[in-house]
Amino acid sequence: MVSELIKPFDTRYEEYLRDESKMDGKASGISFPRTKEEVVTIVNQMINTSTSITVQGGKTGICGGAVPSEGHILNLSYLNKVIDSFETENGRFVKVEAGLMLSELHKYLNKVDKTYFWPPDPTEDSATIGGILATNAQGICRYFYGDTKQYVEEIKLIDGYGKERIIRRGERIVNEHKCLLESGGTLVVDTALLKLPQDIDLIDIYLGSEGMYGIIVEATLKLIARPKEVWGISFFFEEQENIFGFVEAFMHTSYNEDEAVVAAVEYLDKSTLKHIHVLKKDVTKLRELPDVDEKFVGMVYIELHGNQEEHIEIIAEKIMELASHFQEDDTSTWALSGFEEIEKLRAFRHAAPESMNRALDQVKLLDSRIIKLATDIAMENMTFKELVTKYQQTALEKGINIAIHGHVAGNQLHVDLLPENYEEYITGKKLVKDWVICAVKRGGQAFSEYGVGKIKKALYQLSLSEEELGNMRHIKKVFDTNGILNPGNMLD
Amino acid sequence: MKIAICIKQVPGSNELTMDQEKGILQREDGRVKMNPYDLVAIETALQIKEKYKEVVITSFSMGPKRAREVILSSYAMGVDQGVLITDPKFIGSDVYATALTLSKGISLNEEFDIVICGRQTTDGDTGQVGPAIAEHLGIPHIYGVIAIDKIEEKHIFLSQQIENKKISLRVKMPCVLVISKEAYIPRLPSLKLKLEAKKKKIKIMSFEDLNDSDIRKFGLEGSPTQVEKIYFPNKSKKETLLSGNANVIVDAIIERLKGEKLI
Repeated sequence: MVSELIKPFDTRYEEYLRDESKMDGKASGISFPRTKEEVVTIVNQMINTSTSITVQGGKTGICGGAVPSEGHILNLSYLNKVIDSFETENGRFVKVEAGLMLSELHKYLNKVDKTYFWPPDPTEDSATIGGILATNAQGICRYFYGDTKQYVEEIKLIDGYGKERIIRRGERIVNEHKCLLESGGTLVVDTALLKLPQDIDLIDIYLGSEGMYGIIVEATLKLIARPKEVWGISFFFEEQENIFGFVEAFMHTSYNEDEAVVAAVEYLDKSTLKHIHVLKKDVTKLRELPDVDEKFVGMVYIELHGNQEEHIEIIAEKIMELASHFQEDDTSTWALSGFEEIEKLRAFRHAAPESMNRALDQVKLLDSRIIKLATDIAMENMTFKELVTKYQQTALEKGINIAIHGHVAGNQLHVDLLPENYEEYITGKKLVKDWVICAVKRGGQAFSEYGVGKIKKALYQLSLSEEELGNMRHIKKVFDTNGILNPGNMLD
Repeated sequence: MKIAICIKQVPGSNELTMDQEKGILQREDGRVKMNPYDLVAIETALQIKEKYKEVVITSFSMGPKRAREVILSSYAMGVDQGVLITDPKFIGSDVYATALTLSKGISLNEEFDIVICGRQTTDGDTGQVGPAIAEHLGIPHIYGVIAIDKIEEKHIFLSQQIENKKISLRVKMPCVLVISKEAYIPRLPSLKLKLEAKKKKIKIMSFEDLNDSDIRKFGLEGSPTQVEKIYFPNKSKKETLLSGNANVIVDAIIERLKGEKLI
């Protein structure tokens, strides 16, 4: 039974040695469990043979979290069923296995009940639910719907002892830095030190921990009522100063109208638009969109959600009026409505990271040592203009091409460095380090959405004090004494 | 110059339900969108309008009342006026009855110089509505148009793609043009026009407005197509794992492609 589940590694499985980070790893074995019982069997076998485990979902991460540094690959892509959907007095829920892809969850929800949805919408819809929860990935509509964690009611996981644990929201809360576990043990969480809420729920410690404390095998997701109407609007600008002016004015105004709200505000710079244009030739979904005129230096994408189109129209008119002060050509703005139609604009926005990965593929052909260099720093205490200008100036000084896209709210911008050779890659690495140090000094959040994985581990640890790392290692030790889960990631 | 374009609201996804008894698609539930092929027809008309003076574009759609949404979408792209031909009597129309209804609606409105249709729809998928409209109107049609090259007083010069051949044609107007999807990339609606669209009027035409009291020509009764059975094709998924070094795998792929007569 065990030998059937665990396959020795050979060339057939080479694709499982890398993810979107373009890092290459190594492994001695691989398994594709189809049930959580099989996961338990495999984990226990690995404990018995002191073999470390790297967990994989959709391999869409860009920090190398799913790239094995040694040992066994536990690929959860076949653990992909929707178990149940149900309603309680607390709302509507869907229970799924961890390897279910986000796109499949969407399909399922569209089929069984179009009136509800799960708000987190990370770019890659081939990401698995387990991967999304492990990295606490967010997506563009976080602006209105908030953190992914609030849409997770329960997780079932296998810990580093090979034991199944069920963590329900509200059941185990940290109190005065301590949380009693169902095993009888105590978890010490210095919430002040780790900058966490004082009464953090245990489930929120697991979520976003990148599989360091356990392997999520099932999750109960909280659904909410789907807005009846959606609009997507893409504003294009010819001058960078005008983008800054528009964003500044927009973020200082409330546009909500009855039940209609601004759900997403996203920025794409000129370099990103240029790379999407290159990608467009090879992607059917993008080919159907008109070319963006080269005169535009950036785009701001705004998504409006509501239950009545009239309310959305009122917001759209107000935003159009604001934009008219900053746009040279007010007929250039794209506007689509309806879930089917706005997929076109979302595809364009989603093409931003995809186009960066494509550019990296090209450079990697020239020098295989080059891997993904990207940041996702959130700098709330700087203005949008200050942050974008800072990135542009410092990159220019170092002679590195960059592309910026991301969430305008909270200044959570993703910066992709685009080195043309290995020398530039090394320079870019140092630049990322400078940015992270600067962000930490200025009270920013250095790692907001992409995760840490292997690529950002050193920087992550640099951004934390010894005490913070010590507390996190304690948590790791409680759930995974032998450090068998995801070695080389985050805390190692 | 007066241009008519024919547009249709189609289901937004491929997951459709069928009325097995009547043999027609059920469209009441679910999401809808503009037929993507019609977007190219609109773009063609708009490009003509941008190049030539005094062009007025009118969009025509036959469908339920909610099909007014596609007329509004056409306004948001830059179309000047729209006509919705709607009546429960038209339910169940096949390609013949649809083309007849549209042609009556078109001919009763204006004397159009050009009627532009998309190549096909994503639901009915016959690709015959455009040519059938031309037949009902008694004017020529050109299928597979890939470019409008020039328009003179009475003639339109255009490029047509038939299989691998590109043909240049001079056609006397009025005529019906059936546009290939590859002809133009349709523009996206602009916010300004989209917001203005709601304020624009849509002319509504019903059975009574078509100047033809013979109901047997319209809707299900006027549709000669008999659908005997509707079913989804069987989906078969077969995976083959090729192993060996790169050369072995490449050879195996080539053999497989040859076997399938793909190369």
